[in-house]
Amino acid sequence: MSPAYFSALRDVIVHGLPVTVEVSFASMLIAVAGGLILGVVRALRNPALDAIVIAYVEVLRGIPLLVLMFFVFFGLPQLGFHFPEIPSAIIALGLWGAANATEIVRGAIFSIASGQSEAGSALGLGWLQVMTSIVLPQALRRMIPPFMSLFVAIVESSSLAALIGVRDLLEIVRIKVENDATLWLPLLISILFIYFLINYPISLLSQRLEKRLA
Amino acid sequence: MAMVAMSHVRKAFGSNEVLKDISLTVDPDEVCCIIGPSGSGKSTVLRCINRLVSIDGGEVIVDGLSVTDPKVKDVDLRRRVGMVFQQFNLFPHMTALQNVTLAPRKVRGLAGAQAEETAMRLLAKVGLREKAQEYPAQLSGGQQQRVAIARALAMEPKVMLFDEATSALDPEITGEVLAVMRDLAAEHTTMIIVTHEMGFAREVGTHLVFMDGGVIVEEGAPRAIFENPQAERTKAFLSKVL
Repeated sequence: MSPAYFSALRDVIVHGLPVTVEVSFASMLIAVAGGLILGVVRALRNPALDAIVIAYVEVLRGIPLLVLMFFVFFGLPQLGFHFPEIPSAIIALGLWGAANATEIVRGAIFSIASGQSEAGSALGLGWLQVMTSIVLPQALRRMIPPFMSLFVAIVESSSLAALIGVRDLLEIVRIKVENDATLWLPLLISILFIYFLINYPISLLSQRLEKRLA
Repeated sequence: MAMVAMSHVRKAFGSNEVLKDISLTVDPDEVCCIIGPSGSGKSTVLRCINRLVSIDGGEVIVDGLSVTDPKVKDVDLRRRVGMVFQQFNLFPHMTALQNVTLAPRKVRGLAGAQAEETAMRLLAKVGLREKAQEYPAQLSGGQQQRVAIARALAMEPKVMLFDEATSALDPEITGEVLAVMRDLAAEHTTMIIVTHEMGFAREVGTHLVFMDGGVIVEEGAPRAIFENPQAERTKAFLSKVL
């Protein structure tokens, strides 16, 4: 391997990796928080609120993530909302993740037998107490595997941010090869390996959590 | 004053009229057993009493509180009414003890230690003191149902509802649950029991109700009805189950 490769790889890891991790992690937080809130709202079974949440979920899941990112970064400024590259990527990925997470949370909540909330209600617990003490603790276990898949998808999709100029792993590679096209292959293989190193622990964690909570 | 007074209660699920003009009075200390074929509306009667089901017409008064009065809060009604379900419905992520202390802590606002003391006393009462730290999955069906009874009693209800509490149990272990219910009857707990256990209804019940097709066909003293049913439908039902 040439010194040029190692020098480029160093920049990829030092500058690109933290950005990929930042975009991914922030998006996961938005996805989890948004998904929990909207999923619980769905459990209220209020027709008006349902319609709003369903519309959000269907729209966000029905458009390409890259188009959403372009919309936030290139489109919203025309409406007066300016976000820098990284926040734009996080907003788009977070909103997309939240839509998917909403379905995960809703599915898990509705998978808990109705007898559970009925027993809680019969004991005098209010709706929120039934939710927080009885339904969610059981539902959370069922959310773990699909959430881990979503986290992996978020890490992978964070590379789309390169296309709006976010200097993540992929974008730093692209910058490095501008002067030396022979670096394409070794650098791409290198970041594939780095993506794998981020995602594999998530899969391992999922398997362990699943076993422990089964 | 009656503990539970239902008058002209009607309830339909869609076009299915489940309760047609049900009037039933249960006095304090009574053990009222409701029998009848499946689909006759027995369970729905219980669910109207603690508002798990809202009624379409008529009135239900529970210990002086009207279930149709919007000013009466769910919690005030449900604190007075304990319920035991066919499928136990224990909370699987909590130990037996936690199942019993949950509502006293959250609803009655008892401190942890006080709730646990009461819970241990109730678990002892149903013969499961040594199972307090076990999870429902580690308990047999009969043990789970006894925990569920302790859980309902922990709210110190004025009336206990049993919705086919032994129907999901193997015949050889229904006895342990019925024994607990017998003890409660001996302590003058007011109970309304939907059951297929005719022997229990006859021996422990003080008031028997036979329902069919959403109406009360016949009611009275258990012994009288079992020995000398008046209505044809009661006779036909009893001849099948006895």
